[in-house]
Amino acid sequence: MRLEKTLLTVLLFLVIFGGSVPALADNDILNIAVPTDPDSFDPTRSVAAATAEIAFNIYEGLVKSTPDGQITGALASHWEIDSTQTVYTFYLREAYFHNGKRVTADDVVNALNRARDPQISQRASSYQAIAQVYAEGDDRVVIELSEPYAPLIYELTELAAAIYPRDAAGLDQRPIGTGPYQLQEWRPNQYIKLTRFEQHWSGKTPYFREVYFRIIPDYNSAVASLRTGSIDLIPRLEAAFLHLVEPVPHLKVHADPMNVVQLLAVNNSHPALRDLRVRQAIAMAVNRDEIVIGAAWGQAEKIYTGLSPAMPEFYNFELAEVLPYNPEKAKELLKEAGYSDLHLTMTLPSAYPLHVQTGEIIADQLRRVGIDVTIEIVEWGTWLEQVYTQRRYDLSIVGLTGKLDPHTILNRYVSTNSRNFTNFNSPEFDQLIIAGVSSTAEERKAIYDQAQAILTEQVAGVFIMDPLQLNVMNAAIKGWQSYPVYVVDVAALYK
Amino acid sequence: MKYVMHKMVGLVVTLFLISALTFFSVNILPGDPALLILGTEGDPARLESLRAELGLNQPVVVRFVNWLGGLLQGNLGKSIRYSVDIAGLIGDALPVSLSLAVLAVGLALLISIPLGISCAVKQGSVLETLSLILTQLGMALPAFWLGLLLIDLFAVKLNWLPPAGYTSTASLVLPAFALAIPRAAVLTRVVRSSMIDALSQDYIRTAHGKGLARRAVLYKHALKNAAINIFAAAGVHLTQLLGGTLVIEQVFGLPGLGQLLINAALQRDLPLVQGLVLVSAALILIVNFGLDLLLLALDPRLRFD
Repeated sequence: MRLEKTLLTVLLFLVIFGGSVPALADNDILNIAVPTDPDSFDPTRSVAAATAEIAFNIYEGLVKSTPDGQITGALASHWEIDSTQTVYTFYLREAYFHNGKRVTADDVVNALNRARDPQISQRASSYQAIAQVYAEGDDRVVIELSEPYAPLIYELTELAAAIYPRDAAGLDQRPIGTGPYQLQEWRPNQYIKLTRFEQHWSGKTPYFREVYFRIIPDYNSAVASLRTGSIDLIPRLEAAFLHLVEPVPHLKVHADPMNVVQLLAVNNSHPALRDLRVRQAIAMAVNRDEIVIGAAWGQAEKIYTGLSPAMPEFYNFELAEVLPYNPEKAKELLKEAGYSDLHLTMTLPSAYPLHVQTGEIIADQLRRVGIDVTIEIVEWGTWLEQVYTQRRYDLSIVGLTGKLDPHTILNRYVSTNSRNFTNFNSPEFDQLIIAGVSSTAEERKAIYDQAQAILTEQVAGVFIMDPLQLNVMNAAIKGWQSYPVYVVDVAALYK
Repeated sequence: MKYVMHKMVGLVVTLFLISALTFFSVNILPGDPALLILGTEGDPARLESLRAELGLNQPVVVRFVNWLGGLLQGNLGKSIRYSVDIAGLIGDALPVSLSLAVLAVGLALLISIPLGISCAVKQGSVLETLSLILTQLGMALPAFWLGLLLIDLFAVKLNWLPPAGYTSTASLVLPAFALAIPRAAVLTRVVRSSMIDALSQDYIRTAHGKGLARRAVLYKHALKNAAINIFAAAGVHLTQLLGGTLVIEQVFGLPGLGQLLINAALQRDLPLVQGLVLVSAALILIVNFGLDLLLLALDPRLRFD
């Protein structure tokens, strides 16, 4: 009898609580699931993609990216570049910060000067070409370069070059920008709440009044929340969870290239890997089709060089047959180089299941051509120290985030670059990268085509795939825009 | 009183030792918070100035002494990962973990006590066999998997409860059940054996002999004696849960201490790891202390030892 009473109580308890679930899915409230918190909303400090994704809605620079990777005016309505390619004049719009103050040329000068100060900014090296920034009157800003630097206009779309009020303090927690949304509240491990900004320069009011980015680390739970309607949107779902979404009729998926380069990093300074034939053998042992199916569930595009086809103007489409999959040829090359029994260690970051699975498949493929591979799985902090910074590794796999300009992506393979963790060394490549920044748009295409060809032929690494970004949402949500950079454009969404 | 003083001194010493141990062991781990902040996209030229900003260029011992100094002034410092005060972060997360742990153990007791008693009273019955099988199953189920099953049934299929995140107390119900079921299984067996043991004692026969009602014998005499074992076992579960509901918090997206600890450790946010370890250690020690007092109240024999 007692037992029944207890069970009844428990049941009652469930029903009472069950009834009090708040209806999250209000009509003008949007709930987005993200796996982690942002790092900091201070543009000079933030480097995490998780921040850029949200901050895109809060901050704006002089210019911004369109969904197809073109540059359009943001706080600047238009701009002029002089014939020497070193003086950029930006004409400011009438725009207001979230604190109600008007954006002045002075605010722009201050923000850009901080962005290029190596003592303040985490991204200062991107703006080293700038010699000075000054205001001309209230609505004009001039950027003078020490030498022509074509990537500048793309670098100005980055969060690091966002404009905030000169007197703003504590931006890491309380960002003040000019974007269509403003930050209302940030509760670590719970949510980031944005509300729409009524005074945006575009004069347009976004559809959703409130937007919550809710922190749900587990994708199973995030998908369950999407199915019940307490979450409306999951940007960049991992492919392994797609099967949970596809059979549900009220959900839809927007799949587009992510503009990420998944790379089998080959340490070019390793005694055996210094031999080009060994590196080429590794490249020819890799079967991308197996990886795309086995690790990415078919949701990826194969790549053959250091850029992603998500940047069609610059990606070199001619490189697929340079070192095609050919295990027999790989064995021959190894024999020729005198490495009939080569032992290598592959260090993989546990934080990224996609890279770990890719690594397991590649290790198997390399074994088939006679290279013995030991897998070592390390946690992200260790990876950054051991592989990325100290370069103590043989092989590794990582995804490198794409940018809008090829220079920013390819620059890391320059022999003297501090981020050149593959120790790639090609004087010819270095020359091309230097030439690329001071060339006209047409010349640049040819230069970067050649630079990409060198990366592939000389095997800076084996470029594997660009995983698709699987943006999963309730079918009622319309207006989704995929970008070649890591953002969620909330203002474009509506019901 | 002397007993309490004694315990308090032990508590402080233990906390100091735990802090020192975490501080130095986290420092031995590879991985540098400044490197983690910069990631693969940050500017390596910024590394040194960032390390200086975070105070990482000082020797480990100096940092430990500074941290201890801050602590004595009631200051846990600032988190590297979230750039806010640690006290605030823990203050937000603590109620979530605490109520989850208490709710889970409460539910486990609510299930196990009646079930265990019934098994003890009706030995050899179908009910007993059935509950023995169920408890075996309950003990074997991993809580996180149970969590996923519960989400699928009660959140996705029935839509009674929220699947993940923390929006109201309702968000705690499913994770509490996921944690309670394996524990209820263990506790049911404890209740059953303690009751069987208590029921075989002489004073029970005496009580029956006095002509007391069956219910009174069962609940007033036998259960009161068995309670010592039951509470001791439940206390162990409570301290275990306070020390870590990491996986369940992850599965249900709950903003508790476990979630903070995972992120802090992955980001090498040493001040936050320190603060969290200190708080959970203190919590466990306090609960243990409270448990000692409770058992002391329940069992007069302990008072003379």
